[in-house]
Amino acid sequence: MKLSRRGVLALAGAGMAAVKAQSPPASPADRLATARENNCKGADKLAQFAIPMSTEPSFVFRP
Amino acid sequence: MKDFDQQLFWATIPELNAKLKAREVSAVELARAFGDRIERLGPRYNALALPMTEIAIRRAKDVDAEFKRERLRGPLHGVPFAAKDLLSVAGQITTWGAKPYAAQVFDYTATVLTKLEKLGSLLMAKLAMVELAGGGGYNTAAASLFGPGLNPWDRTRWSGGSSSGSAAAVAAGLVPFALGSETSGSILTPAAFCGVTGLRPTYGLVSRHGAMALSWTMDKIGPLARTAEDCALVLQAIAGKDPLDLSSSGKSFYYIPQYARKFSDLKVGFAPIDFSDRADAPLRPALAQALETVKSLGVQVVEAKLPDFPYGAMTGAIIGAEGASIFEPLITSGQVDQLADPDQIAGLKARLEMPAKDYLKAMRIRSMMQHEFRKLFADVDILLAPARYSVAPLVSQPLDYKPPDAPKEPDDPGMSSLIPAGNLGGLPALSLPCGFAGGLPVAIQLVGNPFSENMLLAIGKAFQDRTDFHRQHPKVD
Repeated sequence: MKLSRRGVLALAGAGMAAVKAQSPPASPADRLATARENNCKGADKLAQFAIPMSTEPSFVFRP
Repeated sequence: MKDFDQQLFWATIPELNAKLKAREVSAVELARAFGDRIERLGPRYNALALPMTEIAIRRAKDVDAEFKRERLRGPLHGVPFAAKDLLSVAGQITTWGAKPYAAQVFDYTATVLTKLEKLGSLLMAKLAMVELAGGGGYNTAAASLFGPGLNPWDRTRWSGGSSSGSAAAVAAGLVPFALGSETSGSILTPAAFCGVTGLRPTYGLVSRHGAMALSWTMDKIGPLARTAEDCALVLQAIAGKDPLDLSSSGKSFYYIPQYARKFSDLKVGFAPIDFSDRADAPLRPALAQALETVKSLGVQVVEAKLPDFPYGAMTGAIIGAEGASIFEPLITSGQVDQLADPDQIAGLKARLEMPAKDYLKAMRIRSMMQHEFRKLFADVDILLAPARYSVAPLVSQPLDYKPPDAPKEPDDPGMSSLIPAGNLGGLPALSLPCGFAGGLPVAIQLVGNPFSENMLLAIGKAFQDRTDFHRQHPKVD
């Protein structure tokens, strides 16, 4: 059977999904590490944003 | 119950009100019929948290006496409804959808429920929700004390979150309307997935006293119902000043569609890519048709773009920091480990460690974002986008599951961040059913300036006058 490049990639992707489905569930420690990592990623995205020194936090939402 | 007109389970609020006023049906009959239905069918969708039928029937007897004396209390008088289980009712269990709070009882009732009771509405039940409204971040439909919210259109699909039971109950005809809450998407998402109309009010318009707090600066309470007009009638009842809620804007809401601005004066902004490459292919025909219907209302439809901000990181930091502060006792006591979703447990623990500088940075960027949105709303009156870009996911898969053959996301974000952006800005939004894809509901969202609910609802009503998707319902019995 001849497979196109896209077909091979799709099969590989499906295989990875199957492996993921069969792999043991992440431990609480792993999940906590992932959650901490997500916090850091979010902080990095916020850090890339230049904020003028005069900008105060927003606590009022009225027009 | 034999002679009860089954069509009443799908009636709108004005239709039920007309039947009650004409004495074609009594409030007790409605309470019994809806109570029986919600107790019988609610568990089928994991939608029921606490039935309150007996209390509702007792109240309905008083309502019938008032109708007899012609003491009418408005369009919600005698109309049954239900509420997300994050709203407290004095003396009743309020679980917030989470095992650690399974036996929690408050001695006061949420302001919104007191307001509805004063107008003669009948609280039939409390409805299931995602645990703690998903405050720790969750990745499974099963993240609830009540099990995964099942979609009445297809029970292998999720009903959405976090107001899962509220949307499923309205969609399945278990109640004419329900109250839900939104911090970032918790009304719009389940409304869209279940094919009902959902309204997220402006931040501060509706009191949150008696509601579980997740984010003091982002939580809102709002209705899920059959129509935009129904949402308007409920909002009129629950909006208004409340000294018990520090976020209360002090504003009321009066539904006055007759004074809405001329549609020809309104500019509706949209991003074309949302309706082509961004939405999943099966949704595109319904979304394209919805866009044409909006155009046919006579509004000016123009291209628009959201200001460029890190919306996801901002909502993550703000909800994360505020939520972790609110639930600090739960987290530090270790009871957090009783939650159903392991990602939510880890998320709450990690967020308790978030530095103050990250939270404040997000809040400062939020100020800049709100400034940019004021400029955007000088050019357009309403933003229009798909409410969701895919149909309700399977409950058996992680919520972030993407099939291996999923096309690459386009570089142009379109308005895919409109839900977090609208919530960060405290902006009102309306979700309107606009068709089906593979038998599952598809919806659009309209977002406006703060306190522009009358304009959104006028457009929503006109849209629903020209379509019948809000009138379609799943086969339930």
